[in-house]
Amino acid sequence: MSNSNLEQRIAAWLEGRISQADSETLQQELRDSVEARTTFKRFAQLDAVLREVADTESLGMISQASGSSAPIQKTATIHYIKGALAIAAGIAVMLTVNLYYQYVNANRNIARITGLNGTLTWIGDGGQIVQGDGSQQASTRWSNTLSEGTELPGGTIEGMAPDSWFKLEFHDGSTGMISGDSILTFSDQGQKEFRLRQGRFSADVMPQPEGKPMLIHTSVAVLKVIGTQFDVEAGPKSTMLYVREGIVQMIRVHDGKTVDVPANHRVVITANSDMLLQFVAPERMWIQTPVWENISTAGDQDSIATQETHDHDGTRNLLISEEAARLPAQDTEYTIRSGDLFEFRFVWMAGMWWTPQDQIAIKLFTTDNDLISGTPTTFATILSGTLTDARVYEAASGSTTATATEARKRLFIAIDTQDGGGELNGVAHLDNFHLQVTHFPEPGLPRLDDFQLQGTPFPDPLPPPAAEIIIGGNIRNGNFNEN
Amino acid sequence: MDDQSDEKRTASNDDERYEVFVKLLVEHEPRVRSFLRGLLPTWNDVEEVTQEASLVAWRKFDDFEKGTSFGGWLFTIARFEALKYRRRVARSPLVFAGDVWDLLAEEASGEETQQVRRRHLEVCLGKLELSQRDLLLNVHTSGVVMRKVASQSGKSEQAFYKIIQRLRKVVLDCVLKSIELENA
Repeated sequence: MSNSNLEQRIAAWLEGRISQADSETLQQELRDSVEARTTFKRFAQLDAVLREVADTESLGMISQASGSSAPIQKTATIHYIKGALAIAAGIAVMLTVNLYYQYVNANRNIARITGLNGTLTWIGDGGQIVQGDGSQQASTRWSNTLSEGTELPGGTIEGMAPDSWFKLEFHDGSTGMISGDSILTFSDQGQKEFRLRQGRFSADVMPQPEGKPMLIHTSVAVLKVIGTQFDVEAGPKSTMLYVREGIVQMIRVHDGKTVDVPANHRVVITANSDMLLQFVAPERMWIQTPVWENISTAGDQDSIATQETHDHDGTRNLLISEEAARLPAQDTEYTIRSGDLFEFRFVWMAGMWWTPQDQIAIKLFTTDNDLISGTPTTFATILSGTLTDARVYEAASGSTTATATEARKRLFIAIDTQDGGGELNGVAHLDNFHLQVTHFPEPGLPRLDDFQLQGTPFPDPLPPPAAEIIIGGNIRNGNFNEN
Repeated sequence: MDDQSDEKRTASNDDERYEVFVKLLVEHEPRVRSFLRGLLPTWNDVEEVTQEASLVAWRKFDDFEKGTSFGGWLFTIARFEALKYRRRVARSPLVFAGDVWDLLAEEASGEETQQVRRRHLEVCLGKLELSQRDLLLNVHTSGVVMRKVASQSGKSEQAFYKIIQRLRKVVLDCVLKSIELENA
């Protein structure tokens, strides 16, 4: 029996993805071997303790509601006590609230918290304000903390920080989530009704009773939802709706204009917008991403190229990885001239496993046959610099000048990574790539004008060098949103 | 007047009883959850049985003899509740056959020492790189779907699962070393 195989099977069982055949093999191993049973129990215990730490750290983050600007608390000892008390409070709620107030609350609690993170404020019916498990507040009927499993009546939840999120499950199985700096008021008096004052709200809505669709009010629109999955983001003057499944009807408040938004479509409503539907999908493979391609030798063209999650500006971003299987690049179709100044800029953010020392490396190269598949010669590698904060997008820029060596060759560009530490599996997100060229003729070299004018004096001064955009916005899919 | 005093006394006794119960529950529940995790295939199952066992324990708390082991008592209740639950979900391919279940349950019930505990884990998590630590905790947080995290990582699911398992293995080896040192 291989230990490694046994451990893989145990992991698959604990993660609920074991096949029937592997399950039978695992069970036979457990029957036959004390050692296998010990290994199994150790991993099960580890799983339990990891979850305990993970969950109480999530609770601990809420305790920063009192104004600390420190990032995620990493030492969980204090949080364990808070977490344990929160668990106790949760059980207390279950035991006492449910037993003693079940009847009283039967018509009041409408949803259950199924997950939460970051700094949050909850204002319940009657104006009870609940900020977190560390606050000195009087107990409410429901609990003096926001914790997973707590039942809530209608009220208002406010995310106070970019990393805040809050998930709810209603009694009919519909789920909703706010994220970031968002304010959502919700109620269910036989018809679910929400007011999204600002921020982002995502929902997976079970079929609603006939004639009682879920209603979501924003400053400029009302959304009617029968049963679907969608994200809505509201600002003071606009509302963006993206529908993943089903259909949502959106009505503009000021003129009553209506649009039905089907799955994989987005619409942005402002007072004067034309309410046009845009087709979008949450993730796109390389083959669905024009201009850019994955040129790594082991490149999998079916892997994810761009995605909507971890976005910079509500649109797609390019997924970058330190792994050898991914190297985004494009043939710019631009022919290099000696003295060309190439300038680029982009925004980027760290993802999983990205260490503080890792950087983005922009590579400009030519090939031996002017095809992207040819043998490359990199003539410039410019590093982004390291990030100061892993959780937000930061701007990066750089420039390089072409020499006579590269002149008359085709320009190719690749977005690579530069490892600074850790394993080669870091992930980052990059958006709004912009590359421009400005041609500065090298002194002493003949210009086209010289030949045209055959030695006669210039009639006019030369125009100042002007920048030409090679990649940027929707030019050559610099924003990664084209399809 | 007498009636009111009696009511107050009853309320006060209820409060005390409740406080004692919660205190004991908080102390012993992690081990019960850990035990159930080694029998039940998903966290939903574990949560459901833990809640049911807690409710049963609360209802029967008057029967609990002070001075005896609350942990052992709760453990027995949890084992019975898990068995009841198993009968409901026995058809799932993830549920262990009866003989395997009994072996695991029997051996786990007898264990009083050598538990993987939170204090061990925290020391070992501290030895990981911050990004690895965050990732490991992220995928173990309630409500987080590992497949979704895998898809957002840009890796294949298999590669992602391997990374997580490698991290678990590193942490477990470290934890077992700590336990060994503690018992030396």
